[in-house]
Amino acid sequence: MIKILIAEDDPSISELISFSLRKAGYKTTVASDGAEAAAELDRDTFDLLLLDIMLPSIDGYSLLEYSKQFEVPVIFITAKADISDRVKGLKMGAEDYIVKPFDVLELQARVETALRRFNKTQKTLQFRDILIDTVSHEVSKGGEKIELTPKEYDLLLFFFRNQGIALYRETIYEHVWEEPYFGNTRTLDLHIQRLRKKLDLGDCIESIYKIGYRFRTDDS
Amino acid sequence: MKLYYKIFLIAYLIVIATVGIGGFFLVNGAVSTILDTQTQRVIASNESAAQMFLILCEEEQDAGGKINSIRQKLSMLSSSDNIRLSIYTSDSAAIPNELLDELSPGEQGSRYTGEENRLFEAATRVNYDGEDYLILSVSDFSQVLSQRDRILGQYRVVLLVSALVSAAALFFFALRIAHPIQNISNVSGKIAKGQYDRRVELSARSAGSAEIAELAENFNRMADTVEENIHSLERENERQQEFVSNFTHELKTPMTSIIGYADLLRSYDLTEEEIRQFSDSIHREGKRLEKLSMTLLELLVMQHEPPELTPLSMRQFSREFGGTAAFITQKYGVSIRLELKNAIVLAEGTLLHSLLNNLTENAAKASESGAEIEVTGKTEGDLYEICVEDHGRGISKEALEKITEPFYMEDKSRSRSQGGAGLGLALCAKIAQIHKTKLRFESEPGKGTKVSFSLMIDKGQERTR
Repeated sequence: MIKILIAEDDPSISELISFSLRKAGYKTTVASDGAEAAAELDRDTFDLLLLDIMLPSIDGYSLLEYSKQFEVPVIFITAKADISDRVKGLKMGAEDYIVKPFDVLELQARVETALRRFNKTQKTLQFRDILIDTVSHEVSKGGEKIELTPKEYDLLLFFFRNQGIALYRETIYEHVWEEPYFGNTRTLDLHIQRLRKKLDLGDCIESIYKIGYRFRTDDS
Repeated sequence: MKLYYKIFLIAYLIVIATVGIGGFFLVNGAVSTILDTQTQRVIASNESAAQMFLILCEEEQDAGGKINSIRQKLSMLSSSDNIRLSIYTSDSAAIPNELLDELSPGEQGSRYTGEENRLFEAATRVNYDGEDYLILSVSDFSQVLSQRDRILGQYRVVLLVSALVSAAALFFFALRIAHPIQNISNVSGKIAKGQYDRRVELSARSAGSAEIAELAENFNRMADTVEENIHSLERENERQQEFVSNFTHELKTPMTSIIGYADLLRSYDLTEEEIRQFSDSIHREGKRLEKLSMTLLELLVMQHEPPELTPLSMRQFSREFGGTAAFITQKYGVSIRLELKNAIVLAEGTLLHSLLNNLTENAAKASESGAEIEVTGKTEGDLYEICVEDHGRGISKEALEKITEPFYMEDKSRSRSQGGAGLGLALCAKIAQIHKTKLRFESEPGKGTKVSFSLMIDKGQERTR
């Protein structure tokens, strides 16, 4: 299981991050200040570090320096939105930079991306007899290859990664199409229809009235 | 034109003009004196020759035939070096006729003649026994003239040398005079480019004369002031940036929680416990945001419209504050000794209440449960001194300096867990400022903290009472 260390001094936020990541299937450890985070790093091995920059005792930048010996990818989470701070963080070797306030799904996606870059994620995702190879972007159902357009593939991956979550139309659209949502529901609905048909997921991708869709897992 | 060049040029022109003109007159005077002496000599010798000629004519009685012997005698008598004497009769062929015509009998004349006017001749026309004679004395002035030329040549050399020497000397002095000014100019140029820490060197050599040393000193003083102002502006700017950055942080932290938990609530299927926990987080963070915005609003309002101070009875205030103190006692489990002696002070009741509430709550937060906090007030001369003292954790020396800065938190995580954003004391300091006083902190880590401030006594009330 992938282990993530969260260094954040605000208990509400650290619990928020921890909960979201646990839901996404990661194991999390929370440190409430810099010294505690350093101690955790010494004690255990982690696959990813989520660091607040303004931390008591040891700040995020110093922790980043310290973490280099463990070769852990680091994502900064901070309220500082200055470009200079962002550049400083990235220059020092941070993998990514998430500015507060952030979206839970955005956080999960960024974490996923960072882990993938370090080859720490699973390369294939499976649901029933559907298999997604995240390296070759190929999808097969019952051993048979299914042709999907890039957007359909992204949509499927997004559903796979966010199983059991009520996904708002707006959220889905902004994550898959990566552009602002202005009520263009037809594109989204059409893609989902085609996805249901191609992969026989009619019962899994369920519509939620006035909200959007949910990828229902077998146990939920 | 550069200053040193100007100084140099003006001084040089004066020197050259003085030396040149003065020297010219001097040399010219000397040369003409020499020439005058010589011409006088020739003229005098010619005059005496003419007189002697007449005397000799008398002696010989027979001038006509004896002209040659007279000529011999005369040339013997008046022979002198460098003056050639000749006597012409009017019919003699060699006579320079124009001389004879120019002169009337008995008259004498003189002129320069010959090649390059190197000869000087003096002539006298004499008439004896109806016969005109011309006595001519010619002198070669070559020697005198070459002497004059030599003097003039020497003068030219002297002039040239003094021109060169004075040029070098004046240039050097002009540079030395202008150097400190140039120095100041260079430094001011650097300051203008933003190197505010540059100063003019004040060493004796580089400072030059007293005025320039004074200029340099004043310049440095000016630079000090400018640098200080710039620094204070920079500090102010830094403070503002820090304020904005802190404010963003304080604003974004609760917002992140609120948005995040709301997102979880609307997206996930959650257990009852989780729903309760997340709603609670949203509620708590929302409260924090509200408190932050209210405090900031208060700070801003006070900044823009300072409230009016009115006479306030401390006895009444003490009664009102008693309730607040009881609340704090209950909340933090401390005991409060409230002892505000009566006086009429100038204050804004609500703000004073807020200030004292903040200070007392801070004291309570720093104290162990069961500890005592003293809130005392008494008249001290023209002022009414209020003091809040606890025996709690105390404040470190470094923290004391920054304690009233907005968003400063000595212990971030503890302040947060107690719902603070680091604005309380900033607000207190502002309220104190409105009451024309300052918060005085005395603290020792581990022993406790004492905060005091002074209010003005209402004089008008005192008198009428």
